Amino acid sequence: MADLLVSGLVFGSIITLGAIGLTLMSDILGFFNFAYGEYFTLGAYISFLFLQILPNMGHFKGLSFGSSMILAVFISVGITIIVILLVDYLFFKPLRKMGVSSLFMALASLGISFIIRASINIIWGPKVRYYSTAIQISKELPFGIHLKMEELVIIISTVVLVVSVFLFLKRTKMGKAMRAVSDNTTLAMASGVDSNNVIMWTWIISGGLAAIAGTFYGIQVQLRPTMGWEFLIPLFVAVIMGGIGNFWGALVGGMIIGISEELITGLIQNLLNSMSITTDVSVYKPAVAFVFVIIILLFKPYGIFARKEG
Amino acid sequence: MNEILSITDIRAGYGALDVIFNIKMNIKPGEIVAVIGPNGAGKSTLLKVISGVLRSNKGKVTYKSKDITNKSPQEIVKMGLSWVPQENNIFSKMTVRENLEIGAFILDENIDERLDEVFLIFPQLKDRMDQIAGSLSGGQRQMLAIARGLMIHPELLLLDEPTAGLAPNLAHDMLIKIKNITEKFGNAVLLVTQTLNALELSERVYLLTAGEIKYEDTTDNFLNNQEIKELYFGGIKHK
Repeated sequence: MADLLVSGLVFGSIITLGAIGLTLMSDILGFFNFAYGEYFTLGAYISFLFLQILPNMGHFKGLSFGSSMILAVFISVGITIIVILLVDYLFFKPLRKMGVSSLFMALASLGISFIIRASINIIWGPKVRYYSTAIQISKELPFGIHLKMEELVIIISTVVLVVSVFLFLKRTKMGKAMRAVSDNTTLAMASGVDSNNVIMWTWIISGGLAAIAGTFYGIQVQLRPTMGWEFLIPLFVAVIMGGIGNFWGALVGGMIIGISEELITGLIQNLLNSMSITTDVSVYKPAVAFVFVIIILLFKPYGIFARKEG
Repeated sequence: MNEILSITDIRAGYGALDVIFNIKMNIKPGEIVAVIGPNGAGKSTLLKVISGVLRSNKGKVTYKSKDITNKSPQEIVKMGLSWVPQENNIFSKMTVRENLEIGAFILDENIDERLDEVFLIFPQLKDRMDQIAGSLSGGQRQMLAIARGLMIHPELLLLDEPTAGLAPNLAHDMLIKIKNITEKFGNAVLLVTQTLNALELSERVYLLTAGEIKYEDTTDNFLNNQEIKELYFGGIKHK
């Protein structure tokens, strides 16, 4: 049980990072970007590429990676952001100028998603890849909790990133401008906020978070070209659960989905094992997210934190 | 030519439907001008065109002798023209202070002095600096909306129904505050209203009905023109 909770916390952290990026993007740009999952995959694969290119600088004590991984992640974030801005310049910006509806923007993002996924498949192939084949060793903590150092790094990094993004949105002039556009676009523009700048910063933040979340997923699980596409479901559910545009909602939604997926499938697996039934329940994790989204759409369609304004 | 704003033959609307036609108007620096008319006359549409939020299909808007027709709202606000819409006129998820900071977004300087200035006019806002704007009362929201518009020290302030939805005593106080603002800052005001009481502020009036300017005169002449009042306001007497 405690191990499932730890595992849920790790996946919840990864979902949270993606969900914060996706909720900002959906709110400010006004459409659900289906290509977001592919940015997640792209970030993970670019980290993989540079991990191979960069010289091996050894491993940190107790971890399966070292300085070269940190450098690879920074490069991955930069390249993913460049790709995202290029995609915006080539596809979304012309569509915005044409004034197309959010439905068409979402459909266009679906097309872009196919292009990126196919490109990743062509470049790296469908084979499953790993950042490191070194065995990740768990440390035994009190209350029967087993925690790998990689998991601890993911959780701590997520906390640092979430706090950083929050402070950016709360304290900086551009962060406030982003919140203003999200709150009341027309009034923000009439106050002198440059919507193009806001859109650029939205891509930068959400793209950076996608690249890091993708790399974390690669560290925790593995890399495969469909990883981002499959990850979209829990991301969308976390965003809908938290309410579109709600920063803390995305965090809570991400954690609830991550922990629930691990706990529910893990407990069912344990039950089946005790009954000597050999079925891999982990493949049904997305079903947990689907059940959540149905419940939320039925009872709290604007998210669990939705409230009436005075 | 000493007008701060001059509008010639403006035609604009939404989609294929034009709602204002051949509008001609001018405002001098420091002058308070009212546009009065019934619901759906196109008053708010006119302010949207001036502020750059809505594109015009024909005509020209000149502000401080520069053609601003169909310029972006960002460019227009940088020239010192501030628009306070009737609805959705605050950032409801942000605090009072953050609303005012966004109002001063185009300024690179420290805005503490400007905050003090608007708090002198609207002291109620100072006590609620950290309150989420969406939780303010109707009157406080209206104060915040105007305060946001004042942060850049505009030379022309466009006010869309600033007393709409306010209790009569609050509406009266708001009109006094607007008068005080123009005396303090020396800015011109283009005020859109559908109530005759709001005319106590203005020097001149334009009557806008069905998208067209039907009458233009000084406020005194307008209020004494029984024919106009009976035609458009059912003979209501101004208090």
